[in-house]
Amino acid sequence: MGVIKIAPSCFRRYHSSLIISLGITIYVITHSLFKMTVAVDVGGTFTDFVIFDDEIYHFKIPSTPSNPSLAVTEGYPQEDSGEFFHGTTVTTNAMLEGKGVRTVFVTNKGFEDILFIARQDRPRLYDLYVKRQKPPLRPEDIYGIDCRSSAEGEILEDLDRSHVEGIAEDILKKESSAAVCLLHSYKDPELEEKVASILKSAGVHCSLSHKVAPEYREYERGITTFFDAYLRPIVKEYFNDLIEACGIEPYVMKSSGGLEKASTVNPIDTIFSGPAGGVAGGELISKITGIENLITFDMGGTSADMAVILDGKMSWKDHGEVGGFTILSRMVDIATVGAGGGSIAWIDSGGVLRVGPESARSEPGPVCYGRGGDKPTITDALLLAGYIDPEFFLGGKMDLDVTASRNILNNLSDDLGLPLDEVIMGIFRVANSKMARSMKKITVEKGMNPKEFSILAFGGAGPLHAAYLAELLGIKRVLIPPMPGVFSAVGLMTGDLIFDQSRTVLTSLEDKKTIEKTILELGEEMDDGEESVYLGLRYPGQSHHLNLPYGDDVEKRFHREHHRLYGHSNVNSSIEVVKVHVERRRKRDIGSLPVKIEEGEHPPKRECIFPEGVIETRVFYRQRLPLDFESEGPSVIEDINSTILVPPGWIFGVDQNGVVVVNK
Amino acid sequence: MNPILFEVMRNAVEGIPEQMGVSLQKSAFSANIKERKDESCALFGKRGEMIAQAEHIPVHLGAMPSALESVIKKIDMEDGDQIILNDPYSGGTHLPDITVVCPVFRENELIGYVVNRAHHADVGGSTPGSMPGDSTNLDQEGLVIPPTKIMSEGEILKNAMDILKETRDPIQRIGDLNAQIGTNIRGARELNKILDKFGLDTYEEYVSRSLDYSEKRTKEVLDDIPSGVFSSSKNMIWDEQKIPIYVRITVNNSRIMFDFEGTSSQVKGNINAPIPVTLSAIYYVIRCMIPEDIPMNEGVYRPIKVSVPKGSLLNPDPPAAVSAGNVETSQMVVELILDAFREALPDRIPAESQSTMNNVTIGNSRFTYYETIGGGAGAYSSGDGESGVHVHMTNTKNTPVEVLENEYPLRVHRYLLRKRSGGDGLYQGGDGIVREIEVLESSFLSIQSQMRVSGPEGMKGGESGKRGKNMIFIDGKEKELSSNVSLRVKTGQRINIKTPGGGGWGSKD
Repeated sequence: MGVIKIAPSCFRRYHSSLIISLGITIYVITHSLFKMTVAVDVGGTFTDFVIFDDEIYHFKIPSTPSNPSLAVTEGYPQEDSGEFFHGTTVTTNAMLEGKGVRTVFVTNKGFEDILFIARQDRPRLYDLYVKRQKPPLRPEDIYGIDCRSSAEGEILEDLDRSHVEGIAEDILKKESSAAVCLLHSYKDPELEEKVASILKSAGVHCSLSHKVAPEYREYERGITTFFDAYLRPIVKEYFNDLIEACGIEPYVMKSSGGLEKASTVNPIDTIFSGPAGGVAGGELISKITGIENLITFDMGGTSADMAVILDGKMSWKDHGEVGGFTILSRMVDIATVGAGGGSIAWIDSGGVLRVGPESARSEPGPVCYGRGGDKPTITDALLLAGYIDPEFFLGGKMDLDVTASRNILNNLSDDLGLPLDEVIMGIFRVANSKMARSMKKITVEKGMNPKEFSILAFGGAGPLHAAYLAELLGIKRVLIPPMPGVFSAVGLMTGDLIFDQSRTVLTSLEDKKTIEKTILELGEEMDDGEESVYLGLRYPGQSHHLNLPYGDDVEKRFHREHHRLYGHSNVNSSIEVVKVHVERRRKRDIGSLPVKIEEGEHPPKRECIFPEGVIETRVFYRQRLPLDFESEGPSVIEDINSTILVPPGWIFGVDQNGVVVVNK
Repeated sequence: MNPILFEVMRNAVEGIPEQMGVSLQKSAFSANIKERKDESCALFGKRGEMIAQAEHIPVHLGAMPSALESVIKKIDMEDGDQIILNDPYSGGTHLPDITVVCPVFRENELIGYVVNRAHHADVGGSTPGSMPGDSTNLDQEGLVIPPTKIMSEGEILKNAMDILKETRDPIQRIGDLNAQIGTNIRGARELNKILDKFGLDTYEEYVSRSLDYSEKRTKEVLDDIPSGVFSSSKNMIWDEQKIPIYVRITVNNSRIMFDFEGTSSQVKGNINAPIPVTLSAIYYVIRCMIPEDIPMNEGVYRPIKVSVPKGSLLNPDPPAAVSAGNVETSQMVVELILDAFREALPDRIPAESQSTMNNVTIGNSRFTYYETIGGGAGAYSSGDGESGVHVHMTNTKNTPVEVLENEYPLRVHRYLLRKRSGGDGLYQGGDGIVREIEVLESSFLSIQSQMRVSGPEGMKGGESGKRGKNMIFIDGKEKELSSNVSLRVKTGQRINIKTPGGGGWGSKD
């Protein structure tokens, strides 16, 4: 037994027994007197569970996309749990699939079409048939009100109450949700509040732009408010179902990597809940290993998510794109590449081998799944390379059809006129070169060189690719956390509770009065916690800003950071405050991740294909590697739901925290 | 070279201009570069052949090769040199676009070039922003820089940098230029890193294979176009006069020839389009016709031949003014080429789009506001045209109303789709935009636009979109302005721009 410490209140002992359900191993707590901690991460294919008392258990069950709460309640332990952490794709899916509620949009007269005009640009540069994503808003559901505020927040034209009352009646008849966005409401919300009081007294539920996203830029604030109104009822209903079924209110992972209670969280802030968990876990790994600069690399079945952890902190941004729409919400800065285990290898009309972006997804999945997939994927190639054990896939609960993979890849090899082994390595190399290109880009964006980072690899496929990816980038160290196959779920329980509020102010950095007043006002509506204030700062005339912690030397730090990121600064220039961002954080006491080490033998060596040729390769079971174990590549380390590949020329070891460290 | 190594090399090589682009956006000063991403980076081979390019604005497509070609012709370059230019008659397009060329050496041998181009906020001239509406001579549009060494033996040449002192904000210009020079150094270093890994021979084999590959796949697309000669003519409007442009396209045996004989001579105004702009419009259309995954390199251009008469609107001689050539004439050349293709590809070419960028500049000694306004896209054989969007040669974002009112003495009274402005048809043309702006301080207004006399044409029985209208409200009275105009506007006056709707497709019944 290794180091065990998460929330100390959960430090208890149980019996456990193994049962088989849906072809997947599930550990169930059979006897319980004490509270436990449960983390559930709902993904597109699987719903991952990590259950922790004094030991830690994890399992996957198939997701139930039509009603995601079914899979959660099915896997949720019968016993009382002390804490429940939850990552969800419900918000994103409802948005992408258009499954929100009917929503009307109320704005100033003369500006009714702002959500359709958007920013007037098109998504694809070279396409004669321009198509933009349009919000699910019917033209008859847009209401323009005669009223207007100026940029200074002064009311130029007040509204006519009876007109708005008429609108309220109309909305009530439609039984729809309402989004209200009036020009310059981030500066002075008075008109928006007047509209709200009329709508609310008529019984209409509405989302207000100055509350949802008090930032300037009417399209971005308006569309975010629209989707808040559109999604809120659906997401709230889902959380209520969950609370009822599980008997406990979950802490929900927000896009920002912080946690908040389901009853208070803004649905729109959970739009990237899923991928944020892994990055939050990355912060913990950075803390316990002391390795401050990490690139988190989460590669699953259809795509790979990458994020940068710099000086031990995840990087965030204050808006992002979802399904062609901009959402103003604090979120972890994640780049996604269309490369996953299910990515399809194909030959283009010029005779070149390509991989992705098309994916076989989970249905039908790679050819080796035997579910009707008939196109070769990365997983098929790596199975034939010997990296994946057909008997130990998903912990041995899914048999893989090696012959089917071989047949399909033989076809590809005939078409390319290249030997099979070369095609197998080729698919691997092409996928890696594609991901390396993106990884390089995200580090350059942070003003850094990839060499200054280590890769933290997880997800089903991440630990297989990471070392070769590192080699392409000149990176010398790869870390694989415990439980890489469900690490996003692990990350859910490691996050802090974070409450956020922000607002556009547009004033000089010398205007301390406005800044302090805004901080106080934002804080009024927030739960307690350790407070940090960030200012969005820029030089006058710039249209982008940098978020920096507020404090005495903020001016100096701004010039310095600007110089680091952009190569220049102007110490003589004044500084403008675009927005004030207040964060309250309740730190949770997390020591290190628990590690369970089993006794037992490792599997025999097997033949694996490497760029150097076929090599008899050592194979290990991750669960049976003691702490401080050291060995060298080529090696394959099999974990439940994931496989680690250590190439020739690399060495690896298990550190005190159970993290596998692979070094060149 | 085997098809696996080819794809691995492609990811490595195409990553170079991509990383250069990120670095340039990060280090530049001008909002045009940082926010509107009006910049491009490219990698060229030692003979000046384009290998990879990352661009965000189609009008840079043909411009980068032209710029390098002109530098190679005029200047002997050594290791550590970098060359700057913006002269539209030596590979530039319009003056705010400054290009920097850097030769890349390896063990004293020239192995290629990295080049980047960026739109600077101002390069002098008669109006802030260096895009005057009424220029008749290139010198009025700003500082003209022929190919000039800006760096030698790795040192920036102060004398050369000093030319920028003629611009309105020299400190910013020097900052932007330093960013461009640094970006090239980074690109050159990345190329050398790739060569360390793969070796020069493999790299050169890749380059030659990659150009052949793009050529082969482009020819496949050309083979799908029926052979023949197709032509079209359109009119630009300048000073109330029709200025004809004409193209004859010959498609034959996997090759394509664009001949602009018959196009008007260059004009006194600024709608003249230097040859790189004309090339960009051609390459844009080809780029739209070929699959997206074909690497954009010289191979794509090989089957294309272009002939433009010297001294014409589309290949002017100095010192013709050119500031609107880039932003207006380029749009019309695209529609001209598409129209010519219509006979060969009746179902693939959409009805006419707004064909203008609706350039509006309002300013005085205190401020300059410049922007382009989207409009209606043409309907096509299987769908409606998009509304309120930028088409073809530009894709820059709008200025949000709240940003505009915070930064300039202006107030927006309407920002709407222009309902029913798209041409009717089985598929509806996209609607244009209405943007009405009140001037809160006495200012100077410039508009550069087209499609104000007649609207974008419909196809297959679809109706035309509505023509654009430039209106001004003076004391409550409405007055229509012409397509290109410069005038004084007083406090309280309102400018109302209605952009054209797209043409409809097919008969409604």
